[in-house]
Amino acid sequence: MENAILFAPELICLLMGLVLFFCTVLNWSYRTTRGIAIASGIAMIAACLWTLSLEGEPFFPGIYAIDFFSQLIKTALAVGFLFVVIASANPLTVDRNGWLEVPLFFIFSTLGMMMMVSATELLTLYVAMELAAYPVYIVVALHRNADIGGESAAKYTVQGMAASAISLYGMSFLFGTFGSTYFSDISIPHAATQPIFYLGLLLTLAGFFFKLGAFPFHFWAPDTYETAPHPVITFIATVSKVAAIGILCRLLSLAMPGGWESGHAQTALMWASVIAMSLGNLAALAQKDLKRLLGYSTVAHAGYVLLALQTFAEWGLTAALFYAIGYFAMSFACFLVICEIGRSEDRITIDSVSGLYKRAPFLSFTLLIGLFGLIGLPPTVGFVGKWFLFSAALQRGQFYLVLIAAINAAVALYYYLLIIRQLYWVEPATQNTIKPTPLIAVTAMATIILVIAMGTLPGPFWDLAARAARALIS
Amino acid sequence: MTLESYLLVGAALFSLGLIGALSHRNLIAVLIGIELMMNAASLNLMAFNRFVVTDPTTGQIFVLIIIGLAAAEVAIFLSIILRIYRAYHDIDAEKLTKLSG
Repeated sequence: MENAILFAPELICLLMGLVLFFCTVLNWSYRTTRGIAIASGIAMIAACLWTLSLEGEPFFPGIYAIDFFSQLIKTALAVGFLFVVIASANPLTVDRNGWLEVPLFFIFSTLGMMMMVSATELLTLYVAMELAAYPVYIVVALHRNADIGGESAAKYTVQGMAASAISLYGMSFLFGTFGSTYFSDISIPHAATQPIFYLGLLLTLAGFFFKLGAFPFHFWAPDTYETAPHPVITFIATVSKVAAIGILCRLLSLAMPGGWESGHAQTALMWASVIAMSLGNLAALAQKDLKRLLGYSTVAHAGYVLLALQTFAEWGLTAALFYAIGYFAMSFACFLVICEIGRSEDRITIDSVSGLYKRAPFLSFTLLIGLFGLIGLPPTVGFVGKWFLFSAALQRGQFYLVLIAAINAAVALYYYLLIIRQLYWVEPATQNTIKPTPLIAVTAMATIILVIAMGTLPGPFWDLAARAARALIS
Repeated sequence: MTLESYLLVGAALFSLGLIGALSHRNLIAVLIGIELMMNAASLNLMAFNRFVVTDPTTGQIFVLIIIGLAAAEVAIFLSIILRIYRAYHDIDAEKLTKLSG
């Protein structure tokens, strides 16, 4: 019974997934299905908060850990699932025959991500990773235009499958080095000096770099961001990023006993970080499509997160976890607005948001706050989060790395401000107003409050992240 | 046969698969390339299992699960290929060029 309580968030996720499956079989209305999905999101959040400070192992010893880190990330994932389902009120860009399946695939992908952040064994991790990935492969293809959906899904799926195969190849080397698939055996300090360990660890990271959209597995990001249906890309850009940063923290904490001396892995991650942020920001400068621009911006933000992770220090892990939650809120603020204003449009260009403050004042304020966060302006979480990320690298004396990151943040200012200019200083092309439903307005409000609260009072959130990071390292 | 020879075959399979996945234009060929990469990982796991590990069940179970997941992956990707074929009447990756930039 106690094990069932430890496993409650995943159990609720699974059971509600089955309920949603019956909704699709019985062909209920989308309204009802979405209502059930919202209810299950709330139930999942409650279960996560209930189990937040519990610790234990619900299954065989060593394969699945419930600790503060996993429960914190699971809470964020459950909130993310709830928000994304709320945002997909009118998924007109999704094929009409596939509407009912959208919440179903989201909930199963969330289940996979929840299991991923708790997995402490390679096989569990691999199965959870695939469970998180397969549903998303399908929903990307569910675009109402078969050509756009198929092409975008083909690019996303081919790269996702290749990344997971590379990951698997890396896992085989980790298995070979330590003769075991348990993370508790893998983190033995003395074996962590072997080159084959670094080969295995770096190849294993590939699959999670893909989810994060980090160099060199970022090629899908712009194309998929541009063409995937809006609710689907909201899911990919928010929920799956939190899970990716979480699992990267867990994997990199395995190399922590080696600490700063873990030379090769650190160098590789450092270069991945530098290239990701430079490439993301420079490519974003030339974009006219809003979603594609955010796709390149996510590559840049993956670079910032890697900047903290490559320090292999507790401060870096804490900063990355803090930023994961902050990035979720900022990114969701942008995509919620995209879902609302682009209900029936396949593509959202920068021009489609021109003069939005006249057509939808509250939505354009939400987008403004999200963009302020992505730029890194105070008093949003973007500023504080970047401050923590950069200070993690500074504590290691990597001044030039921080300099590159700061230059990148300045370059990024240009293209974000371009959107803000369109929002507030350009006359709208059409006059038809967009009025969000109360539920969406409340969600937008909650997101704004989260972005501002984490930016002005980072203390409690930082303590949560620090406690999670400590749970990982100990 | 030593461990090294198995690992070399595994590395060769993995490289062939990666090259195939990157260079082929036909989406089915890309899929075959990715399957080769997964098979390379399975071969590695079995080789390590035979020569390094004391408990021989772990690697075998791992490989059995990989085989199952690979089949699921193929099913998903083939369904996406079907959708593309209905839209383009072709599964040539070079012709999927509506997105660019």
